[in-house]
Amino acid sequence: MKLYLGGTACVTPLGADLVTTYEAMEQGRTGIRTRPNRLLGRDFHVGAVGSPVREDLPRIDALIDEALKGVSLQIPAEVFHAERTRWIIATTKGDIHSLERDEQGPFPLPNLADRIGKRYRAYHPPLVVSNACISGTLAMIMAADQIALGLCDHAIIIGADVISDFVLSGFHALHAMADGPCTPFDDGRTGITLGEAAACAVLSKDHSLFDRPVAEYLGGGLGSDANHISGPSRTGEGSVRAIRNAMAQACVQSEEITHVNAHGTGSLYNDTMEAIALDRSGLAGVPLNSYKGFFGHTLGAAGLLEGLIAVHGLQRGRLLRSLGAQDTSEMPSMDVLKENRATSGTLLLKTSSGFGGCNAAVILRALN
Amino acid sequence: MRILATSSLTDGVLRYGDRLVAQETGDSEGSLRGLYHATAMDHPKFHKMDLCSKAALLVVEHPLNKAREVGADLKERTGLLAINSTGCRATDGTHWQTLLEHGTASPGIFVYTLANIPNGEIGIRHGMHGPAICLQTGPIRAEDIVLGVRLLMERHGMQHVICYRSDIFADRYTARAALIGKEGEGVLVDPITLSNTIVQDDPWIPKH
Repeated sequence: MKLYLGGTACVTPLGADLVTTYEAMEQGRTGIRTRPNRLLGRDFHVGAVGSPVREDLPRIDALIDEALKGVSLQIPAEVFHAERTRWIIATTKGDIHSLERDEQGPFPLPNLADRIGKRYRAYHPPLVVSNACISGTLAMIMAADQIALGLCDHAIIIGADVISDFVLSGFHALHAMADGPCTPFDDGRTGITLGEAAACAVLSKDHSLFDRPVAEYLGGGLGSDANHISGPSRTGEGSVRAIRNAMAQACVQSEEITHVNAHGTGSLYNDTMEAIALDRSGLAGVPLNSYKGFFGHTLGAAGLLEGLIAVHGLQRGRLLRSLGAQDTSEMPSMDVLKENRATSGTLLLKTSSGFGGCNAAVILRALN
Repeated sequence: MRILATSSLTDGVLRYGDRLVAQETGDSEGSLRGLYHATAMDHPKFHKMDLCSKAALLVVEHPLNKAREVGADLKERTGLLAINSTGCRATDGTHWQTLLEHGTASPGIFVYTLANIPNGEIGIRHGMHGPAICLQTGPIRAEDIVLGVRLLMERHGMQHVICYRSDIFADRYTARAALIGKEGEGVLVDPITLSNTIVQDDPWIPKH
């Protein structure tokens, strides 16, 4: 069964839609800015969404709402409400601002799903995937798996997270924040930069649902490190398994992959782990990038958002540079993109890794 | 798909199948510590975890032992499916209060504000490299558990799945777990049997 991805939309620090975001990235612009943090008494670099969103909704709902508007322009309205449509929301902390507002009940993530489901009259309650930073990629996998098993025909996939003092303070306490904007895969990288975004897409077995599907979903894989709760495996155990499983499900060999859009957080250990995992998977020479230098780490949105942008680039025959990666001599076998590059290939490997030692990978074929 | 083992842990009462393993009184922290000692589990990191992870680790111990008994490949072919109502909500509150009171966060608390961390702790303790999924729903729905197990078995090659919930409400907790095998001797998996095992809500759980 073929699965098609379309109805793609996003709201990011670089724009209120996918094309605007992509074109800003192609021009080398970053959405990362310094912002003072009153609670922690210092400035941080963050990738905050600057475009106007509804202020009568919790911020995450407003970002999702804005992205779903983009989806609604691309697919028939009845798909939103159909019995054969499943909704999946990927997020790490959802409306965490409700805790800061002292309004949080015992079910913060299910409450977000309820609000979105009701607002869009989803037939089934949306499923919330909260799997740290692989949530967005895992949501794609779960959407594809449900369609492949005949449990639904279409899936509306949402990935979203917002910048909050809650999360910022946590990564700061872990000494994980970069000194400036993050520089994934650069030898001088110093840590992560947080970002916020919402990304949405529709996966369907029905090609005719879309005027023009953007990609074919070929396969997905998962794997766990079983190593450390907040640090990646030094040998990339979980990531290697996720990549191999995705390639096996997609029936794709490593030499066929055009491009790897990595998790690439900019943290010392993550990027090294990914290089090792890619090397072990026979993908050392494949052009590689991370988008986090453009808008930061958008947590639960990251896998979906970055996958959609990478597919858009392949549709245009372009691979974007990994912003901030200048000196990559520490990873000599990796072809880290330091400049934008033309390509005629179409096969993308998107990888994600997260706390708890979870790893996910998907393979998408960009369609022209 | 068959249910090969179940366990439950609510307010200090730990049962492996129908067998009462131990009963502890006191607050959540104290009773979970007591149960840890009662099970003779040797995992010092237990004491650094939040309540949600502690409860999860205790409740999956029996299904995982059963998995070893039936020859399951824990390393590569056993998946983890966590499905919670509140998950780490209590730890969210602790992290936030710490930040407000001290002007700085604790890394040891922050990590546990991610809902999937119990999966990570279980995977580390038992050396599991298979897929580990974490879902959050208001009322736990048996259909979602069946869905998760089917995905792990039919799309990701798992022979066994440990599915569990671990929820903390104020100072009370509930955790339930099951070992589900693709084959084996046990009760057939269907929404009703799951409703009577891991889905089952305790009466004091607030309604979503």
